[in-house]
Amino acid sequence: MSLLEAQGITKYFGGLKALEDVDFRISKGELVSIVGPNGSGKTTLFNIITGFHKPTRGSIKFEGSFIGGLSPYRIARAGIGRTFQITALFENLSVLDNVIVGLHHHTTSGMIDAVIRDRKYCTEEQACLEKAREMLTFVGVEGLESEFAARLPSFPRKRLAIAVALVSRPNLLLLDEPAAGLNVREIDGLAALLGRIRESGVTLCVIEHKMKFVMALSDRVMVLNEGRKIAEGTPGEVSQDEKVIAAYLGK
Amino acid sequence: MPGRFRVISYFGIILALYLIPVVVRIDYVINLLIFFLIWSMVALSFNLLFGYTGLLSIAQGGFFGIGAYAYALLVMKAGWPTWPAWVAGGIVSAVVSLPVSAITFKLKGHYFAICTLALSLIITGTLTIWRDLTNGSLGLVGVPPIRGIFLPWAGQVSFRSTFSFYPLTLTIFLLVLWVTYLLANSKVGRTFQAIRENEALSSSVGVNPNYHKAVCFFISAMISGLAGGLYASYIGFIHPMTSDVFIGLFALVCTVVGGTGTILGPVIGNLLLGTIPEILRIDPVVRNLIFGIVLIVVVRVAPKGIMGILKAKRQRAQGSRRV
Repeated sequence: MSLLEAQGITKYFGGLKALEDVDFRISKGELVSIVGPNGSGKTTLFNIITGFHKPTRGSIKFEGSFIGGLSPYRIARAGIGRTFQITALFENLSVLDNVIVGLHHHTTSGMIDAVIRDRKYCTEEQACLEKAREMLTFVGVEGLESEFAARLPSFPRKRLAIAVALVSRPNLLLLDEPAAGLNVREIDGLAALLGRIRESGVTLCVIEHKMKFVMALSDRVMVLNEGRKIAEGTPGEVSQDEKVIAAYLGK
Repeated sequence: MPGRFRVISYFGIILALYLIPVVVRIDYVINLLIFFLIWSMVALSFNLLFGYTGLLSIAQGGFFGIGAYAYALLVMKAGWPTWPAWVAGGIVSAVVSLPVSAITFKLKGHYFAICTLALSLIITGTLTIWRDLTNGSLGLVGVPPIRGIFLPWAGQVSFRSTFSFYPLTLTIFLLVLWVTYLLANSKVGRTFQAIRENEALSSSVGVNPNYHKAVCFFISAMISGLAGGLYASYIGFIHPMTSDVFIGLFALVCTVVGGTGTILGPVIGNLLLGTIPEILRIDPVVRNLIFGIVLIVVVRVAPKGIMGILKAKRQRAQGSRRV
């Protein structure tokens, strides 16, 4: 069963054709990668799926309902999480608070509860605290709870960004270049983390440039070039595709 | 036992604040304190919005004026009792914030600040031009003071004199301070700060940024409006300049100098820039000049304000003790 189904996604920025008629689907439990040269429209596709851009044309269906054109927070509540290409964190909040904000839409206590600190609010906050700690252990950022996010080194930053997205319990998690700027050992750590996330039942879609990483991890690869889909298939198929080789190496 | 010590010292400070009029029998000093508390409330409301949610509002003076006029008009023209009129003043101010929220939150960047500046000027303009209702630039004279209440241990208390109005203002100020503290240090404050830090990220985890911004603006406008009603009740005379844009700008200066995004920052800023120049009788024109210079220096040298400097000092002291 397909979890996400995008049809004929087209996006123009004025005269610039960022995406042209891209069809795309993700099945439950898969790990799909999107690759392509810089400027081929990968991040634009993510932004359209998560509602940060409105598509010029095309429809997106998630778990059977249309989500095209909804605001980002509604799409997030529907169950699509994401990270950003330039690692986005709440810089001046503590590491723990970063994760707790990710739990926001699963809490129900309102503003009055928060001001009078009733029992409902307190138990909920306590539960959030525990869940956030569990999540930090899960992604491997421990012992840094009260540190400001801005003071973390780059790999823990990436892990924390994944934790913030993951703690909101998405069914589909979109990761925008998670391995960028990491060294070989860190990439192994990341691959292990992605494996654990998959085992927990979250479908993953990854934009990545590091081909070794993509080839080792993905079930399916989609290749974009200049806003069009030029190939799709298993890593083996895609790496043999003539158009892909031409796009990456030049004819 | 630093926790218990802290609680005791807070209670001590509050008690001392309540006892000031018993010890100091100078009308001028108490008068000064009342204004200090009223302007502090405006600064607190500005800080709740700017320091926590990151929205720069210049309309706090406008909301202050609306609260003052709503109180005066409801009591004088509609014959409302004073207490409901005071609360209604706060609510009217808050409601005025809603259309601004609806218009500006779809836009990115500085449109919110620009729009609130316009709003503040529109409010002053409306209060000046709408003569039938507001008596124009002549203002409203003889605004009745808020009605006295019956306290079981003190009997009937009226708020007609400076000395009896001071405890009322202090109580409302402390309530506002307390509610601000509770809001800021809760889930709500955390969500506000998340929006300030990174709106895109917060919406990507299911936070509705526009809703939270509108709520924060609503509360902030209400606090300013309530302060305005209190002002009208105390001073008994209001005119369109009661909604002057400079009130909002003064709240900005106090907040930035005292410490943006800290609970007591705006209060300390107000003490330093509002009350002390008043005691020293510095000419208002010179005062504005000083504000400008102080603002530039603080933003360049200590962007987190006085509270930021104090916090850094305390952390350094703790660090050296540990070593």
